[in-house]
Amino acid sequence: MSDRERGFFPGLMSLLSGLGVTFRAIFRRRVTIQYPHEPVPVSPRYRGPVHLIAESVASEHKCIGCLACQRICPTGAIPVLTTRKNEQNKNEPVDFVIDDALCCYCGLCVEACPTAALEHTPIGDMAVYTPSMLRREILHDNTVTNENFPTRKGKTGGKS
Amino acid sequence: MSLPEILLRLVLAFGIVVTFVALNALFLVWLERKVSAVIQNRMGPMEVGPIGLLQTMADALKLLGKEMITPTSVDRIAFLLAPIIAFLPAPLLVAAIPIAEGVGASDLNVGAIYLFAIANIAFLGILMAGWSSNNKYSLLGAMRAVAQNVSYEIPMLLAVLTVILMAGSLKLSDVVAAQSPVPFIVFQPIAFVIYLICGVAESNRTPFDLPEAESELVAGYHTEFTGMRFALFFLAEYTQVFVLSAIITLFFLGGWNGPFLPGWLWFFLKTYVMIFIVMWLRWTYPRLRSDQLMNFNWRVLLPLAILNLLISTVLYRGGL
Amino acid sequence: MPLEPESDAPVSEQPSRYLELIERLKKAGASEAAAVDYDKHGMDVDVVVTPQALHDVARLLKSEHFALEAGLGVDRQPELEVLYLFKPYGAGPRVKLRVRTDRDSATLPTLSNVFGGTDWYEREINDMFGITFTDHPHPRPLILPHYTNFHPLRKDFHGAPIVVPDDTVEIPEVDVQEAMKRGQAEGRRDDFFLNLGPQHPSTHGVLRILLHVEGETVLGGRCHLGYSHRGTEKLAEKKQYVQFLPYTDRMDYLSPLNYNWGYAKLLERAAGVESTPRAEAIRLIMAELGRVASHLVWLGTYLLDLGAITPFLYCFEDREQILTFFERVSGQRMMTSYIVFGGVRNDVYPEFVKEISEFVKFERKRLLEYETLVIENEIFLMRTQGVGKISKEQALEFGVGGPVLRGSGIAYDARKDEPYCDLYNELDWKVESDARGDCFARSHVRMNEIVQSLNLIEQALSKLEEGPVRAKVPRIFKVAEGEYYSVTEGPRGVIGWYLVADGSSNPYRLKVRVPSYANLQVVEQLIPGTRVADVISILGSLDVVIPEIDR
Repeated sequence: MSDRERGFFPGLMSLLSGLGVTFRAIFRRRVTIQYPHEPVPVSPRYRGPVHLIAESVASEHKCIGCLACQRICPTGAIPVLTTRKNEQNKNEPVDFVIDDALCCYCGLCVEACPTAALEHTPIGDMAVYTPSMLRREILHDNTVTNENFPTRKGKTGGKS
Repeated sequence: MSLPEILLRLVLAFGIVVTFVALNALFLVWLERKVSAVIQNRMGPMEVGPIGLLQTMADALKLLGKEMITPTSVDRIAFLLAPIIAFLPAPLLVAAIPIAEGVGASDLNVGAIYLFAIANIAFLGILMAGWSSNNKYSLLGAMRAVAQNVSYEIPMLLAVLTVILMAGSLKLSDVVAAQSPVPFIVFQPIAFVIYLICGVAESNRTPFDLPEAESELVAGYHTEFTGMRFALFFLAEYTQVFVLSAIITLFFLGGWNGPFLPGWLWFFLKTYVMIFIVMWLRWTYPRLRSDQLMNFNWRVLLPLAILNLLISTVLYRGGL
Repeated sequence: MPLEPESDAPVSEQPSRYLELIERLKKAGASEAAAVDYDKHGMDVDVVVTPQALHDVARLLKSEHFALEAGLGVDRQPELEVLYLFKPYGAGPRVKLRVRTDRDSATLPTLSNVFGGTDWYEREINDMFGITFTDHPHPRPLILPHYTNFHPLRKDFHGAPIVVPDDTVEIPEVDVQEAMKRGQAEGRRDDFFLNLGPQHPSTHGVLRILLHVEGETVLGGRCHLGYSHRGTEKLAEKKQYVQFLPYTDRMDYLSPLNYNWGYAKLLERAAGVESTPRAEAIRLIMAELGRVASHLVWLGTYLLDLGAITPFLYCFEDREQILTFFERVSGQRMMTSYIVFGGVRNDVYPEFVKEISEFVKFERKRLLEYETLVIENEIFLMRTQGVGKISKEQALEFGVGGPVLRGSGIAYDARKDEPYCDLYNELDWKVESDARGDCFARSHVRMNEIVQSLNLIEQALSKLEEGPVRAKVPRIFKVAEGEYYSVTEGPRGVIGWYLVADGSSNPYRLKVRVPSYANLQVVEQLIPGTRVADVISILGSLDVVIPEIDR
């Protein structure tokens, strides 16, 4: 490591070698990803908006309405989760709303779910016009993809 | 020539020069962004036009459409005049630069003196901008700018003097003619380095960008300026870079002299290589501190420049 | 140091080791002093003093080279208590000094004339608990606006409307007025006040420094904080222990993993749970990657402060790779919430070892480039050498941490001196330090620390043995009544978590000792006599994260 009392020429050389570093960089590979022209790679574990696991919109989910997710949520991002007793006298959810504007994507609800009914989606671009568009009724809209996410539905998208 | 003819020629020349200044500055802004991008492994502007060429045009249009805010507490007259005075030297300087044998708006017989005299008007504009803004950061920026420019002017002129001594003329075309076949950089490498350093300092660019050091002074003297007023400062700054490189080309690199290619092409080639070097410096170095900047000037550059001038005088006029 | 250990055995095996110190503390006026089980509570000696004896006891600690670690208030209902934590850098006990006052008078003598670093802690306690410190040199609110009339961390506070008075002019600052008078007396006509921030490119967050300058020379300055205060400590009292995890990410957005780890360690210590060996290795790798990422951000932004833009882009390019690892492992790039009570959230992905070792090799090469481009650069040397010197005494008095402390020649590192992970003892690495104490020394230490972290990561990769990544932990989690403390070494210094538990599932009081707090406090001592540009250089070299200070 250099000292203050080094001579004129080492100082000059240090400046020139600095120029060398930036010059060499000209010939390096560019690292820019031209988003949105190019997709940004997302990890399969990415903790995006939470949804209920289901094969299709109409298919069954595994939620048993135990409210564990609502209780553990640190930010109160599950404002509505009402349940009723079904024919077999078991709990089932009636309304299940997640507010992505409040969600901090910590994943504690996914961890807390006893039946592993919840899951993260790898959706990253979530800009909307009003925060209310991010309130999602996930019971009836449970297959969330990049295409049907409120951000892609235009100004009237999302259910609130 | 009759009076209308002279007026027509004046208007025409002025129009050409101003257009060149504006287009060249826009191109240089684009070039700066591209140079910084390649040095930093990025892509730079890519969206407007092919490889982003029209990006700065779009930016200029946007700036034209912006509201020009005049803060309530400013010194109005100075505030309104400052960007104009800062920009004024840009076309005047470009007009006096010949780009090839006999090509140029005007080839004055005192060209060298004219260039350095006119260039200094810009600092008046900067001082006015800093003072009239009634903003502490602007004031600090203007103070730094003037102190820096006045000090660096001296070794810069001394460096140029050695070249003029060798050429024996103040006329720019004579200076260029004297450099055929060997450019002065070969005889005067020290003067070249001194001039380059001082020129970078004069155009307020890193590592001497103290007047507008954004991490210290937010934006320095043009903090309070918006819209086209801000754009004028910007245009002036980039024209200054162009003029700096053009003067280096004329005084040290042999101007339009060169084999095979036409003269004006040689001139622009050399000028843009110099511009690239100035940009390259900017994207490599950190910034000096104000007292270090002054120390460097008065303790290193000035003695070196005087020594260089003395030795040159003895060598070239002392009968050798 | 007068407190050399008799043997190398762990502290817990020699409970009588601090008897001599306890005797001396009692002689100096402590009303109670007792040894505490370190393994259980993270503390060695517990001292209770009366307000009258506070100074004598503190002076004794100072003469024994204790450094101030933190100051905090606790509402003991009905009494209010102020705790000062001390630690000698080197072998020696961590001491907590407790002093009480009753709720109504709420007055205590200030300690800032003995330990200058208590200045801000006492002002914060004044804001939060309403305890007045007599003879305090700067009795001005630190965090809250001056017009608030409530004390949020008192237990009888349940929310109050903030009434902003029509006339929101700031209370006149004693310092400012005095400085102006002094200036007039000395015949100065050109001095003025310069607000550096809150919106300023180089304050790294919303910090305001009110500078008193004459031309470009700085005569003095005061920091103004609280612009991004989120009340995390109050929030913690309303959250369950598990729920608080995401908040630990958000204190310091540059090293969330180190905060995660400290909090997990605190809960593990309180519950007597051990994490698994594989989890420990993963924790270490991830936290050291986080340290590298944080130091890279420091390098980039510091050079940005000094006017060079390109290194910033290079550093962020490297950091981007680290963040991609974080995303692939934990699911988030910055708010990882990855290191949890009992282990880590999930196992790493299969290619992890290969990719990380490739990254380590890549980063070593890049560091050589940064050395050439930055650290060796003459202009960089001119801007940093001899600027912002922190002496050893200042470092101890203000309790600075991390590279700032080690840049002042004190080779203390919680990873080595108080290993919270066994691997830190097993692996081959050393604590970097530099005795010069200036901005360059701190930069030097940080650059070398990146190398040490890369060494640690490389070695820890080979220690990744198969096994579970999370110990069995109860779902509903309660902490037994008591007080617990844990430290981890973050990129900026010691992160301390002080927990007062009442046996429920919520913390009774949770205090975070953040390293930037002490590191920034020292800036007021460093800037008189420098230039405006030096203030930026000093501030950058301290590497503060303002949201961490404001919490």
